[in-house]
Amino acid sequence: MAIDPDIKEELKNILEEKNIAKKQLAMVVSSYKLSDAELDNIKKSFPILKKYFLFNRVDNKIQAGFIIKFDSKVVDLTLRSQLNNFKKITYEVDR
Amino acid sequence: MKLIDEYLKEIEKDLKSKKLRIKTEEVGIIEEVKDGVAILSGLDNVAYGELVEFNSGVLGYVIELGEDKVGVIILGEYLNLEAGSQAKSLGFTLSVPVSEKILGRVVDPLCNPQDGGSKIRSEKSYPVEKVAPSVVYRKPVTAPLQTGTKAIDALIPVGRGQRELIIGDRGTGKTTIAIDAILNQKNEKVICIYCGIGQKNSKMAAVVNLLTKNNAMDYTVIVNASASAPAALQYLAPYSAMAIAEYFMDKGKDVLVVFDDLTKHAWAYREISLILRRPAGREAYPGDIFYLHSRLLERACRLDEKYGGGSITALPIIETLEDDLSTYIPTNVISITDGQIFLQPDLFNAGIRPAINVGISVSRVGGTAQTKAMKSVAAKLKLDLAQYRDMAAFSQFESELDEETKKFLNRGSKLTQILIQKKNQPYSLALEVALIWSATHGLLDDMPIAKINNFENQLVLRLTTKAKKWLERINKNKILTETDETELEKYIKETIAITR
Repeated sequence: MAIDPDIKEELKNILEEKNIAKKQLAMVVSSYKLSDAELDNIKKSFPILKKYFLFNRVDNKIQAGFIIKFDSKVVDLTLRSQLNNFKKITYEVDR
Repeated sequence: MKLIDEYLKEIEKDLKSKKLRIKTEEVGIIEEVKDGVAILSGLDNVAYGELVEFNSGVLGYVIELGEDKVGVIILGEYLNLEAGSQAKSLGFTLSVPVSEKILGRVVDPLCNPQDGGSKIRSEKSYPVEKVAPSVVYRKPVTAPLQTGTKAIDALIPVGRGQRELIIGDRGTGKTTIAIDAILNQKNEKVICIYCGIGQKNSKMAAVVNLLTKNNAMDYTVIVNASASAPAALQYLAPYSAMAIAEYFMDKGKDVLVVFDDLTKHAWAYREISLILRRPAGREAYPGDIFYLHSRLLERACRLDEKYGGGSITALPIIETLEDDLSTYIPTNVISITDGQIFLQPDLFNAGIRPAINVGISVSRVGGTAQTKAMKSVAAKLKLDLAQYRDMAAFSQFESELDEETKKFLNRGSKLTQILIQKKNQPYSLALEVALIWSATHGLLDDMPIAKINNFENQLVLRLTTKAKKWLERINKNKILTETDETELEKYIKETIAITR
């Protein structure tokens, strides 16, 4: 069964839109609401985020620093993770 | 206070060495948790065999990469994992930290200590999964590995770099043979690794106790994945043991690895595969059950001098049911190994311990891995025993037989009796040669069978106290000269005279 070429075109566009939307979003989780200038700063410091559209989410459990999530990757620069690592070190240190 | 100061100093030192680095981590979300297996979404760029870490600190091992899901076996407690929680990829494949300090320790398959001691720290990690050395790296097996069991060293000799399967029903003495082999390596500079897969904790404790009592822990490592350990750890245990063995082999040492036992290993892998919904084959085992054992056992080899000259000898153990060797796993492993030692419950119950069926046990390396001293006595032993087996059926007609047959039967029964050995008492090469020599040269033909055990104890006592030089000579030169034989005959005759 042959598909109408117009419908094919439409479907292709919709698919591309959805893909682009999914791929180009990056989430920045911070402990307080970031201003646009600060978001731009983050984008400049991480060249990999050039093609991504950043949006901000607030979560005060991370205490300080921020998390950047894009695709399935995460850059974790929070104080909470540093403290968790510290917990591991103190457990591992042996006399 | 001083203790706290020291502690704080250590923490400071550790923190200074770890600089804050900005790294991108792959992250996934747990979608499903089944018994010991978690299915994650995300983790787009993770590789097969990589480690992931869950929120609780438990590690996982990536074992299945689907189109948009990743299957991970959980290397630890899976009871508190919640669906929706995060798991991050650690970026490296599973490897175990190895160093000289691991000798004498009891560890789990991830090299975490299980004996209450300190953690094993090392800069070197050896990968758990590794491709076996190819043909160019290998050398043929020629050096013997003395197992300390007379029957094995004489008739089914094991060489360094060989894989010899120990196979039999439950309770026939498989672990005992392996442990005796470990005990016998005390003065041989061979590193031993005992890998317990799915064994009872009480049994492992008994093994550790026995090895400690005999001062064997100085050169032994025990890798333990007990019956209550998750299937994932039971699956990885032999590979971890092999990784530790490879570390010592690369340093030029000879290593002996015992896998106790591979049947439970196959069961653990079957459990994981069925949970992952992989197609079940014969006896519900997955299709790659052969590869599971072949890639493990192929890593046992003897390396050429150019690459260090070390070797790994593997003694895998398989448990059969009802003495049936034609089931799936036994036939698989028999075709992989360079020979097998069959233990049979009938022989065990008849008092022949070790219950080795010499007729069907094989060592495909054979005489090339035997010392000249042993070869000289073993040839006659083999022949006499073979003739005895052929005529064993006639032993019931004792009164109606001719003299020749009676002589063969007598000799055969004496030889069988001399091969019986108490457990956890391995013999050195010289003692083995002396005992077998006494039987093959007919000096025991006139002694009643009941006295032979006594004779053996007396001879061992006499040689170890009055013939130390003779023992040293044989153990060093590994050859039996004419003068050695005459001296030995003297000792044997003396012992026969005092044996009651």
